[in-house]
Amino acid sequence: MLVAGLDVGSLTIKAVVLEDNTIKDFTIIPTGAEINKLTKDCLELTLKKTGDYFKDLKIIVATGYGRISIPFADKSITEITCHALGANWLNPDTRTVIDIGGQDSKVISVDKEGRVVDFVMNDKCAAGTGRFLEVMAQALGVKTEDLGKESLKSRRKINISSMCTVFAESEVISLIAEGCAKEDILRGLHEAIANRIGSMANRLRLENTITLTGGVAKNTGMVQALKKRLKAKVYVPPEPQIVGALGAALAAQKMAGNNI
Amino acid sequence: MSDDFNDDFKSGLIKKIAKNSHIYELGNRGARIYFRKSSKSFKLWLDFLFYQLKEAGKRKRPVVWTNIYTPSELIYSLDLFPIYPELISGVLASVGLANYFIETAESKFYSTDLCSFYRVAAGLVLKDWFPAPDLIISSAQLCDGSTKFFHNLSKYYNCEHYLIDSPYYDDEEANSHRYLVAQLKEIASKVDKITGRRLSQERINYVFNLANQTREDILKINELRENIPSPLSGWDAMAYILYMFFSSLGTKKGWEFYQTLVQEVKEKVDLKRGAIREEKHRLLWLHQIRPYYPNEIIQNLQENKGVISFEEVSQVYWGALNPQRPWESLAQKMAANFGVGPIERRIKVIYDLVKKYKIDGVIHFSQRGCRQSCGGAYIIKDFLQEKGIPMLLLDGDGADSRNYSKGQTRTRIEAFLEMLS
Amino acid sequence: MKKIMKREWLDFIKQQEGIIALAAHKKPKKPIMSWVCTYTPLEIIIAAGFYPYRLLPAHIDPSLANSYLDSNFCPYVRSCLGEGLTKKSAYLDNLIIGNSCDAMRRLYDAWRHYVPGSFIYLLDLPRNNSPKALEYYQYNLQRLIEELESRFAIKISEDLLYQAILVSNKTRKLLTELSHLYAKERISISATEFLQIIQEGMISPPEEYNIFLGKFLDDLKKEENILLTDSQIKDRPKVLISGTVMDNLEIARVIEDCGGKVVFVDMCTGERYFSEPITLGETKRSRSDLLRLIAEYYLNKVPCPRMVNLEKRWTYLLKVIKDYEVKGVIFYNLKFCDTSMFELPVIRERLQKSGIPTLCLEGEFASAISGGLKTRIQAFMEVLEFV
Ligand SMILES: Nc1ncnc2c1ncn2[C@@H]1O[C@H](COP(=O)(O)OP(=O)(O)OP(=O)(O)O)[C@@H](O)[C@H]1O
Ligand code: SF4
Ligand SMILES: [Mg+2]
Repeated sequence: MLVAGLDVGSLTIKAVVLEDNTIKDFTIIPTGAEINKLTKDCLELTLKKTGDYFKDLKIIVATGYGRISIPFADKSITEITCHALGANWLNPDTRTVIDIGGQDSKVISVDKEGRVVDFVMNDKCAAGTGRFLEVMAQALGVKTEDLGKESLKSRRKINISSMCTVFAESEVISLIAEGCAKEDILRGLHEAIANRIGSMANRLRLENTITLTGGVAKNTGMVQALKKRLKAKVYVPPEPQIVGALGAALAAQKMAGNNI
Repeated sequence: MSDDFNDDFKSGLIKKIAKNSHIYELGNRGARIYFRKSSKSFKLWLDFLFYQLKEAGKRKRPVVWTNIYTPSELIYSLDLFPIYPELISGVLASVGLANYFIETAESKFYSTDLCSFYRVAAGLVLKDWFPAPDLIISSAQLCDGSTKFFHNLSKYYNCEHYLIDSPYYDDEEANSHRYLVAQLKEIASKVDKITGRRLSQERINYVFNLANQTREDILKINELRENIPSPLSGWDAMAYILYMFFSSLGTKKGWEFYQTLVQEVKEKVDLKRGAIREEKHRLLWLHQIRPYYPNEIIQNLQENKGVISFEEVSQVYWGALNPQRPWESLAQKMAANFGVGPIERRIKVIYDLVKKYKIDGVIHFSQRGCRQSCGGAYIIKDFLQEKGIPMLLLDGDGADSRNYSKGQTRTRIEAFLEMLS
Repeated sequence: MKKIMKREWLDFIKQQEGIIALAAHKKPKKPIMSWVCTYTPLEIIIAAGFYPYRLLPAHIDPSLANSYLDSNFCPYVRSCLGEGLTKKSAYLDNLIIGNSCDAMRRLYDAWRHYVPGSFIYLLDLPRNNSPKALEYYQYNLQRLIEELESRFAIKISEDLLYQAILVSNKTRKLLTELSHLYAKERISISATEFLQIIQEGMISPPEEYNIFLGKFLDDLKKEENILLTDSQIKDRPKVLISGTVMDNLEIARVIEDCGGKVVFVDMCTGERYFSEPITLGETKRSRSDLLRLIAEYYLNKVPCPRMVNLEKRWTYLLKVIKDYEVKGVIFYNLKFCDTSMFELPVIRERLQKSGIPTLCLEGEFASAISGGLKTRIQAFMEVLEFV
C-alpha cells in the first residue's frame, strides 16, 4: 500500500513516500510563494525517484504551516501530532520530542503508542529557532550547514544574553568587534538557545528518550548544547528534518488501513 | 501638512459627533436594522449599549467611569451613570477599530507590553471621543493595570478618583471586610456631597432586588448550560453577554435581558440544539476575556468539534445581596472574588467547573499584557494534569490584532483537540 | 580621579561577601529572613531576631523561571524565582513577600508550589495612605508578628521592637547623610559606588552595617577627601534616574562616562529604600503604638509607582529636580512592570511641559549592557549639554 506524507513548513517542504510501513524515498525543498505548486513538485520529485505514480497513492496527508493550502491532500493534521507519530515509529522509546524548525520550536510529550500527551511551543518571536540561527550565521559569515562544525571548535565560553533576533544580532556584531572568536560566539548562541528550549521543555514532564527532530537537529553544535542542558538520553534520527512528513505518511497509512 | 490638517479636522468633527447623544439614537436604529436577524437578547444588548452612550451624553446624572469588578449595584444605588471603558474597548476591537486607538496610546508612551484593552481605552481618552467622566470609581481587584489606568484617567479629566482598595485575604471576622466596608461607605458619603442628595434606603432596595433577581436568572442559565450538547457557546457568553454581566446588574434593562436569555437557552435545551452541530470536546475557557477582533479561533474549534461549554468568568461567585446591610453585602460580593488571593482559590473554582460541566479540556487564554492571570497558569495546569485534565496555554491578545498569528493559533488549537481525541 | 574607597570599607564589603557566602553554606550568626519589596517592615524582621536580606539576584538568568512564569513577566520576580529554584542558600529559607503588585502575588504562588520547604509569608499592602489604609496596614503588621511568633516560637516584645526601630533609624540617618554628601558635596564617589553602598545595606547585618557606614562617612568628610573642584561639578549635566529595581549598576557608570552626573536615584534599590527616620519620642510606647509608627513610616515614605497617588510622586520628583538642579531624567524601568509603565506617560508629559528632557530605558536583567543602550545614553547626554 502506497501513501505519502507532506510537511509544508515555514522554510522547507518535505515529502515522504511510504510503502507497507517502509520509507521508499523522500525529498526536501525550500518553501516559496506558490506553496501548492511547490508541494506538488516536491511530491512528484519523490515519486520519480521511487518510480511510482501519483494515482497509485492511496492517501495523502499534509502537515506543517501550509497544510491547509494543499487541495490534493486527503487530510491535514498538525505537525505536533505528526512529529510524535514519526518519532515513535523511528524509536518507540521516545517519550519526548523536541522539534526545532524554521520559525517554531516545540516540545511534545508522547506515550508509548506515539500519542501526544502534552506540548508547548515557543512565543511568537523567532528566538530559539532555525531562522534565528540562520540570521546569526549570516552575521558571522558562516554557512548554515557549517554552524555545528564551527561551534564545536570552541575553547572558550561566551554568554549571549539577548534572545531577540534583532538584539542578538547587534550583540553578535559587538562581540565580533571586540575580537571574540567566531566559534566561541557560535557556541554561546547555541547554548543560549538550548537554555531557552530547556526551560520551555521543563514545562512538561521530561522523560527519556528525547528525540530531536526538525532541520536544526542536523546541527551538531545544537545537539551537543541540548544534550548538555537537558542531561537526558537524546536520540537523533538519521534524517531528523523529515520526521514530520514521515508522521503524516504514517497517519495516511493508518487511514488507508482503516478504509480497507 | 494637509494630511495633518485633514486628520485634525476629522478628529474634531468626530469628537463633536461622538459626544452628541442624537448620534447614538441614529446608531441604535441603524444597528437594529443591520442586526435584525440576530437573537432577541443580542438586540436588547445593543439597545442597552446605545442607551448608556446616549444617557451619558445628556449628563442628567453624574457620569462615572468605572471598572468591571466595581459592583454595578453600588453605582446604580448611588444613582450614577456608568461608562465601562474596558467593555467599550472590547466592542471597539470587535468592530475593528482597536488598532487606531492603540497606536494613539503608543505614540503617547503607553508601552506595547501593557494590556491591550487599556491601550485601546487610553487611546480613546487621548482622542477625547467620549463623554467625559464627572467622577472615577475603580476597584483594585482585577489587576495593577486597571488600578493605574483609572488613576491616570483622573489626571486627564481632572476629576476625583475613588479607589476601592482590595484586601488580599478574605477573612470575614477580621479586618479585610471592615476595610472594604469603610471605603464603600466613604465613597457613598462623598458621592452624596457631589449630587447633593442623600442615598435612600428605597433606592438601595430597588437596585438590590433587581440585582438579586438578575442573579437568579444567571444561575438558571448556568445550570441550563450543564446540558449536553452545550446550548450556549462561551464565545457569545464572553461577548455581549459579558458586557451585561458586568454592567447591568441592578437595572431593569439588565433583568429583562437575562429573562430573555433564560428563555433562549431553555428553548435550545428543549430542542436539544447545541451551539455547534457536532459536539465532541467540551472545553472550559480561562481568563476574563477572549480575542474580540475578527479572528478564526471559534472556527478552528468548531472544525475540530470543540465547544466552549463554560468560561470561568461567568461563574456567579457571590451570594444574594441584603439591602438591609448594603455595605457588608457589597463587601462580601467583592471579597468572594476568586481571582483575588492565593491561586488555590481559583483552582478550586476551576476544578468544580470542570466536574460540573463535564469538561474534557481546559484552555487558558494567555493574554500578552496580562500578569494577573498568566502568572498562575502553570500552577493551574500542573494541578489539572494531575487530575487527568489536559490544559492548553493559548498565547494571544484580546484587543491587539497585531499579536494574532492565524497559523500559529490554529496549529495550537488543532493539536490540542487532536490530543483530546 | 583618585580612588577614595577606604580600606575599611573595602574590608567591610569583603567581609559581607563572607557573610553571604556563609549564609549560603554554613550557619550564619542569626537566621536570615529575605524580603523583596521596600514596603516590608524591616524593624519587625530585626526584632524577631533575623538578619533582613533583600533578594537581589544579580547573576541569575530570569529565563530559569520560564517553566513557571511567562517571559512577559517582571524579570526581577523571575530572577528571584530562578534563584529559589536553583540555589540552596540559607537566605532562601525564609521569605516575606509584599503584596506590592501582580507579579509579586504570583511569585508568592509560584514559590509555594515550586520552592519546597521554606517559610513564606505574604504581607498584604494597601495602595494608599488614607487613615483607613493605615489602620489596615497596622493590622497586617500585627498579623505578621503573630505569624512569626507562632512559627518560630519567639516573642516579639515592645522592647525588641523599640530597639529594632532604633537600628533601622540609624541606618536611615546615615544613608540620608550619605545621599546628601554624595549629591551636594565635592566628594568623588561614583554613582556606581553610591548605589553599591546602599544595596550593600540591604543584604548586610544591620548593626554591623551601621558601624561601618558611620566610620566611612567620617572618613569621607575629612578634608583630604574633598576632591572635586567647583567646575568639575558644575559642568556635568545633572541627571535623575527614576525606575524600579536597578539590575545593572553599569548603567550608572555609562551615564557618568558619557559626562553626566547622577545626583539622585529614585529607585527601590536606590533612594526610595530610606526616608526620614521614625520619631520615637521619649516615653515608652506600647506595641500597638510602635506598630502604628512603623505603619505610618512605610505608607508615608516616598511612594513607589505601585501606590495610587500620582500627585505625591510628582511633587516629590519635582522637589528633587529643584533641589538638585536636575537637567534631565532617565527612566529605567524593568520590562513588564505595569505600575511604572502606566505612570510613565503622565509623568513624562509633565516633565516635558516643564522643559525637562527625558529618556526612557528598559531593563531585562541582562548581564551586559548592549551597544544600543550605550548609544542612547550618550545621545541623551549630548542633548542635555545644550539644554
Ligand atoms: N545541515 C544543517 N545544519 C544546520 N542547520 C540546518 C541544517 N539543515 C537545515 N537546517 C536548519 O533547519 C531549519 C529548517 O528546519 P525545518 O525544515 O524543520 O523547518 P520547517 O519545518 O520549515 O519550519 P517550521 O516547522 O517552523 O514551520 C532551517 O532554519 C535551517 O537553518
Ligand atoms: S519591578 Fe514592577 S512588576 Fe516588578 S516587582 Fe517591582 S513593582 Fe512589581
Ligand atoms: Mg516543521
